[in-house]
Amino acid sequence: MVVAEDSALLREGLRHILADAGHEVVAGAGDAAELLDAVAAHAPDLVVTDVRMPPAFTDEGLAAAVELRRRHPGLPIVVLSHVVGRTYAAELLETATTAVGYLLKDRVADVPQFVAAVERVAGGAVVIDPEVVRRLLAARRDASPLAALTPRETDVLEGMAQGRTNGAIASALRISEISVAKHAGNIFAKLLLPPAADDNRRVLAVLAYLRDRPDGTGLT
Amino acid sequence: MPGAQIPWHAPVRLLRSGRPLRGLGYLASGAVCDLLCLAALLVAVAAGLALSPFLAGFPLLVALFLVAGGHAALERRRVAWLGTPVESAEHRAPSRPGVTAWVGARLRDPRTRRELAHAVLSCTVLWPFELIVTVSCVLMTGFPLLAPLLAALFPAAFPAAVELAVAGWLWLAPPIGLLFALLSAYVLTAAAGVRARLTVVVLGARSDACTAEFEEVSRSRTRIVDRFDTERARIERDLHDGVQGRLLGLAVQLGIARSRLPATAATAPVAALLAGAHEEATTVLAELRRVVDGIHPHVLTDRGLVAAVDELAGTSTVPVRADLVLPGRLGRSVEACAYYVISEAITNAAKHSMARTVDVAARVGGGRLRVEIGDDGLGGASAVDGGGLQGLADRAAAVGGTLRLASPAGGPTRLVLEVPCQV
Repeated sequence: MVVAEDSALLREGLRHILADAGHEVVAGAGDAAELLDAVAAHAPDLVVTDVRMPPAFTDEGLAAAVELRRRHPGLPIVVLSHVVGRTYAAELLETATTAVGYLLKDRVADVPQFVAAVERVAGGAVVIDPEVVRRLLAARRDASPLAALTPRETDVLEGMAQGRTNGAIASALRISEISVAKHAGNIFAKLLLPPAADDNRRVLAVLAYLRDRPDGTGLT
Repeated sequence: MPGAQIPWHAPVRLLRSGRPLRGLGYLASGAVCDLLCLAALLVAVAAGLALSPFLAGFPLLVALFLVAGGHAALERRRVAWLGTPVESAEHRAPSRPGVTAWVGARLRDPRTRRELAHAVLSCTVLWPFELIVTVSCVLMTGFPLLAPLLAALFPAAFPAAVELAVAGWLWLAPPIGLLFALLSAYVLTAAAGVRARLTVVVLGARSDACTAEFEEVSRSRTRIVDRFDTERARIERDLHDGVQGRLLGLAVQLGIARSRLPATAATAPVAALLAGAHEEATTVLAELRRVVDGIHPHVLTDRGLVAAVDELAGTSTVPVRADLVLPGRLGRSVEACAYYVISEAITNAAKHSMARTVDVAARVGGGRLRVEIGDDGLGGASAVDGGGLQGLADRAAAVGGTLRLASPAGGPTRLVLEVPCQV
């Protein structure tokens, strides 16, 4: 794995966390250019990058992630963000619909959850920070197909957005896996997602959150 | 008033006051100056026209402004010498260095137009007037006064004087000259007064000075708001780079410690302490993030108004329909102003108006950004002193904009912000 984070303290923290979980961090990068070089040099299995890095401290990490996905399609990338907003998440998901994560930086401190999220992304899942997802849901009561979802279906969709399997969602919500599958089917129907490979529909359902922007632009 | 102290009713005092002689000097020098100005203007126009095929009239403007400005400066000095100072000759300072900025500032300055008008008036109508008054007064006074002397010294040149002398009337000439001198004193003083008055009226300070000062005040207010926004962005960055980063580092270390601590009965009390510290650190982090985002929304700086409003819509408890069509970034102070207005409007709609939806629309046209926010709530909002809306109206005013509110009791509420902007 390659870790890009301008704060040395956090970079070391990430290295320890990932090492404890049995993953080797082959390189650390302090900015976007170093990140691109390190990925070229080490061909890692996964990249963790901060959004805000030198020199301008705006969104260099995000731009680097997009660039990495262009160069290495399918390379799993976890983007750590300092803002809860959905703008960055949406931009990231415009270029990547598998093996991508958008997590709040604070989430790193919750070691088991963070490691689990990283491993899900490494396995090809899309993981959106629960708080980002919650924010999206909070505003979606009207004027969108998501408004038609029941609270339980919303919970299930939230679980999907976090990259969980039906089994994991079932245990988190303390319901049976069969009901999760039923809710998922309802979600797909309400969001007008045609029957296809289940994983693909899961990703599309998650993307529906982000596509459903009030200005009508959103994802394509 | 220049005529206020002139003793029109006492001829002797008038003569002794020196006003007529000064008037003579003023008018004579005026004729010379105005003729020089005429020549300079002709040269400037000729040179400007000759160069304008290459530089599109630019040199013509520069030359005209320079000649008119120079003439006006001279005229102000001459009027001051006469005893009637003209106030405020200052042009507005150009906002940037360079000839283009200077020409731009001069073009926008009403004083430039008045200087040009004064210069043109001077070299068309005024110089003949000055010349005629000066010459006729000098001749009408000088001839009769000096007639005996001229008849004696240059009989060939002044046959009329000789004829008078032969007829025996020449002795009358000097008293008549004195009479004319007195008349000329009045004429010169009055003519100089009128001429100076004209200069004062055309070139003098009137409301212009106030306008310029007012503009300077509003510009400084804009600068203050702009600096305020810069400062907020700086504080946000400092907090993020400093406190937030280190606090996160601490939370992560606590998290690692927790995960590394083996779960045995012996370590349980330490684990509980660690867990408490860890949770506390993450709570503080979340709170700090909310505060930092409130100080200055990062997405606004980074992605502009459309994205920032989208984020607002994402956090709003009332559904927000956003319809923002903007040609690009609008400048920090304009974006900040629009953002805070929209943010406050959405908050108000959610808190007080029981609105079911909020509509936000923004367009740019004619050099202005127009933002309209409407909700279907109860209305009755007002911009009270010290209230949020009042502060936003002040903010809008500081960037040269206006904020209008229509919120009748029973609703709906409509807020319209208009701000000049450059794209």
